[in-house]
Amino acid sequence: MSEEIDHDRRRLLGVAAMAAAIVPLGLNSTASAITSATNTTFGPLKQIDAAF
Amino acid sequence: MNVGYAESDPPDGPPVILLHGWPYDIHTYVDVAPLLAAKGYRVIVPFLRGYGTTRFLSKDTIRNGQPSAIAADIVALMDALKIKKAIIGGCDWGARTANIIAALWPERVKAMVSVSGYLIGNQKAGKVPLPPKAELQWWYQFYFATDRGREGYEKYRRDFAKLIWQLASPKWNFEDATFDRTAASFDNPDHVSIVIHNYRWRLGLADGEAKYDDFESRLAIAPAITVPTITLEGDSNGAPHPEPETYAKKFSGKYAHRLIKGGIGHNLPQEAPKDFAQAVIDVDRF
Repeated sequence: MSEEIDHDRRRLLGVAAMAAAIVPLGLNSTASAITSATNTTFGPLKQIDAAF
Repeated sequence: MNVGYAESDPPDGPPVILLHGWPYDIHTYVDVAPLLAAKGYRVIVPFLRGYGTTRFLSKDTIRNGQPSAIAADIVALMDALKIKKAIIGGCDWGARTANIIAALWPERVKAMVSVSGYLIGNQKAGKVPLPPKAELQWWYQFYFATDRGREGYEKYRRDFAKLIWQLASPKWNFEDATFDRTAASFDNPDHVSIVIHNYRWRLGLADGEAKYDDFESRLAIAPAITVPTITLEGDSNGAPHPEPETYAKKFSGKYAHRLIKGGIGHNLPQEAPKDFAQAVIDVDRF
């Protein structure tokens, strides 16, 4: 499968790297981006925490 | 939400966010993204909630598929990526999401490309019966309103999605590998819940969340969209869609509509990537 992902690694890094982001509209966003999977057509896929 | 997304270089290029629909995924834009990247755009293509590698962070979060929640996800993604303003393009659910962002947060949208035009709806309108032929086009919405429909979609989601592809794009001879590449995204653990909730919410059969009530009340008046916009329609779109003359006046900024010919169906960006990419480039110059 081209979009398989190591979710445990992603979650660990995602939580550890969580940081406040700009909140220009009152949306409570947090962000942490890592390259976490490959896609044969798009190339590396990324993951980021982005919460309303 | 932990959002999965594809991103094309250059990272400092003008941002373009492209939003997929149902039952599709980021591969709707697999041939659009490199065309725009070659023109210097930073292209971001996220999986909507319930698709691909996008995940809820808590098992306790309501699996809410209401349109304004999906739009808020994308604005939150923009915040997380520190993107203040972007060109936003969309198709199907993605077009509706783009419409909502442009209506509620116009300061975040430089310009918009929307397949099938103006798609903002509300629960009150969704409860109004349509003439029988129009209702027939929404057969899957009624199916999803039943427990049998939820179980059927859970059990046969790939067969179901392939049938929708065939009906919505009757002249698109996609290969099995093309479909399978996208269908992997429907294995997302929240996919069925999000899809069922979305369609039940539209009919007023499922509640939304209170935190989105203000958004929904503002959308219920069918607000005009002020950002520069190009709307697109394929000449062989087999999915239910409004006629362009019914929505042209909803766009109060600089606006153009294009009919894409050649047997182009509902998944227009994947079926006619050059036309979609050109629309993004052109609307950026409006």
